[in-house]
Amino acid sequence: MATEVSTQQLLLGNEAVALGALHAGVRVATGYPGTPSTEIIEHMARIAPESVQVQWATNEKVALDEGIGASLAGARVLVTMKHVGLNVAMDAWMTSPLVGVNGGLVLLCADDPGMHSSQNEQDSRYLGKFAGVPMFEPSDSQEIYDFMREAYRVSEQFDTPCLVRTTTRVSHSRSRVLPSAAEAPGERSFERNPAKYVMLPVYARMGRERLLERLGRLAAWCEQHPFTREEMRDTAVGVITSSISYQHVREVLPDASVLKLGITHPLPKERIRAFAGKVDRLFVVEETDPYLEDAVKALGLAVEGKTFFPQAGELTPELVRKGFIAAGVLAPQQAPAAQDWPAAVARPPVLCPGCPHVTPFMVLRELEAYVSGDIGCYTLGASEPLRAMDTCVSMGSSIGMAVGMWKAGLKQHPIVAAIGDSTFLHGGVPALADAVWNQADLTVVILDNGVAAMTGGQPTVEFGANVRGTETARIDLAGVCRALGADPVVAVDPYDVGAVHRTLLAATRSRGVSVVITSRPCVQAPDKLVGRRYEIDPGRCVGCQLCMNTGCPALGWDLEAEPYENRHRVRIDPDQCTGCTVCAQICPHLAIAPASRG
Amino acid sequence: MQAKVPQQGNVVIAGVGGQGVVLAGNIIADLCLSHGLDVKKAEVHGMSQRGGSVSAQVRFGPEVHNVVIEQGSLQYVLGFEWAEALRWLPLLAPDGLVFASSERILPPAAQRDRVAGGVNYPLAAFEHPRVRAVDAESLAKEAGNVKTAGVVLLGALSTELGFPVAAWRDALGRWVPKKALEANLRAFELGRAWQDTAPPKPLHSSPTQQARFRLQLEEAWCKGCSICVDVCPERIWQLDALEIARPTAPERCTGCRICEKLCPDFAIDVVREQESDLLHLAGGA
Repeated sequence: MATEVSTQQLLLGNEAVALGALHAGVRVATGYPGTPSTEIIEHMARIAPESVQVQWATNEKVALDEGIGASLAGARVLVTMKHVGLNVAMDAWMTSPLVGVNGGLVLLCADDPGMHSSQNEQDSRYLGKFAGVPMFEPSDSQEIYDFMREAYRVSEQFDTPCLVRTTTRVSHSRSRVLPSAAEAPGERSFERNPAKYVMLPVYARMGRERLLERLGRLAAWCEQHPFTREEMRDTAVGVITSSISYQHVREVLPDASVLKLGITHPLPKERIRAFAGKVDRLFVVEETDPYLEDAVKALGLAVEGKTFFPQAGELTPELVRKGFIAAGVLAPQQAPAAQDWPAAVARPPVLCPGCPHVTPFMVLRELEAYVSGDIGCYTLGASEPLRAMDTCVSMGSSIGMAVGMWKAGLKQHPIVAAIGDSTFLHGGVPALADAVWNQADLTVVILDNGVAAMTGGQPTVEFGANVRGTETARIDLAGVCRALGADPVVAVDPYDVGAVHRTLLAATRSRGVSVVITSRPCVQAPDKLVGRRYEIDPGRCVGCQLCMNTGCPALGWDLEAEPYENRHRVRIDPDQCTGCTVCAQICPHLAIAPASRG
Repeated sequence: MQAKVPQQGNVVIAGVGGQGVVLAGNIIADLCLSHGLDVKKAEVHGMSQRGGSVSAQVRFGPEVHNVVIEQGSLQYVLGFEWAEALRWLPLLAPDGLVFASSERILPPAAQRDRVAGGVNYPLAAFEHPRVRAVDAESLAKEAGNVKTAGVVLLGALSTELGFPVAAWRDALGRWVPKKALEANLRAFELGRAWQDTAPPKPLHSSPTQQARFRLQLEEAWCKGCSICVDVCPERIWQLDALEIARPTAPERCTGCRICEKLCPDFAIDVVREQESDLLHLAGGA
């Protein structure tokens, strides 16, 4: 496959992943959307020819299973997910190195230090080590591209899946990439080999032996690899580092010697020992957990790290500088003169104007239901002013946790699990079967907007189209719930406030497992939906601000109008209103009406 | 006089989700790249795009390691929204410069204090020698497309960040949709020609006087229908164990009187405290 090469491009880290995999000759790319990994599959769908199969899977476990299957069938394959997604795929992940590969298999896992858009901050490097696979940690887009290319070669050479681990800053930064010549890997076909591919205990034991033997060879391999780079400068301070932390160190301590690790499993122990011997004082700078630091300590070397650099949150150049000042490596800085700047405005994410998830949460709060929530835009239903979510842990947890609440005897108010359509199909379906089987009394509200909205509107199974926009089979959510034994299963229009109220009230009063599906397309993605805009008649508005309890960002105080009895009247921002009518339905003074034309 | 082509520097573009922050950053980064400079750009994706703060950071020079800008070294801020621009002031280098749109987008979180009506947003006039307020919205409308406000600011920046004008125009051509290019080029020119600082006009952050209200309930008349519970915008009313309505947080009452008007049994009275009562309350507290 000839792809044009050689011009320098400014690529997002995630775009470099896709380009690297494409130039390595992948024939299958699959994953589940999750910040900060989402753009990889989306970009792949844009740049890959139709001969490359690009798709979203229903969850990360399915994606990795697809990846293993494709690899054994002979294709080079890319599987993408965020850090918490790798937990979902763990079962397959831990056994995949025992099976090995046929076509190269690379799993791209994007961590989110600082939890910009995640429920935890796990350091997935432990999961690369845990599985015993070669692990790459690029620090900019060029390295991502190069490491991806190399990962496919290594995967096939050593008969193992490879992990490429990025972080938010690497995935979501743009930098220069000079691509190299695309390769066309030779055809491989599926060869029946149950002793290698069927993990019966007898064969798995052999796989385990292969894994351990391979780890020995990999340990020798990584010592010589050019991705392990010793940069000798001033030897008073030596820093072992990887990923984005390398860039921070280069900026803050340009003269220090650095051992830059591109491969962080296995670790090049001899190179680390040699480097430690050349410097007076040895540091490890790394984000989140002391993965490298502990390994260096285990070699019996004196090293400093987390004493000076925080374990929680994302590292910044300021924090790295502060750490080196605390360590006495850098001289303390003069604090800048205090300035009287205006206080920064808090602007937390909110549900969009016209978001169909608003009314179910308004009603659930009125019903004082115990709401077991889930992962998606609608997790924002936990914040003011909706404040109608009591728990949220991980993808698909809502239903199982609701069952647990019921079994623990929580009875004062109805128990409701609130879950999006994409999350329901990701991890909610087995839990719904469990709820029916175990005879819980609860209501599942499926907030159905047809897309994975939080990550930018990727189509779900229910949407009826794939990542390339081609029409595919559509899944009937209500039919799935009925087949699993939920009863009643009712669909309701979330823009009809009264109907949502009646439906949820009836459902929460019925015994057994009921399902309410609130169905409306996302107003933001894939298309922006705008209906007839609404406006507030200032003559009628008394400033009760009940409409603002929807949390709609289009509604705000009218600071130019005369207040009504010392209360701000409300104004609708015409540029933001989508015409969902929800505020008009709840206004007690009938002050909200369609905007007059012209 | 045309400013000199910069050899190294950095720019932050700050705004709210959906304002084209990422695109503007791409245009600047592209410009640097086409001048043979190394460039790195940090973007914000994911949750913040739901109405939260969005920013892009561009760093360029002969060799760039770090992607994020350190405190005290920020050279230029392009603020697509007033408060988002001011947010970056503490990072500004001593000679740094802010081009801030005077457009204000008040987040819902700034409008929560319903009793006092106070706004948690810099509404007062703020003028500073390093902050240049641009009425980008009006200039964008003049250019024929309100969505070009960001490009107006790019035009203003181009008078300081001295890449050749032709290079700016070429970069715009590579990144904005073809059908909108003409309006964007007009917006760019209007931004270049911009001169008058126009900070947003000050607004009253709260009503002149505050009132306090007392909620009175004729218990014998209350039958526990819960209408007041459902309609109160402040969610003050709750039914107690005897199904009688009780005000749980009367200090949150804004005096809208919906409960009083809708109570079918005329059981609720919303009483405005007299000034003397207020003095009494203040004294008693």
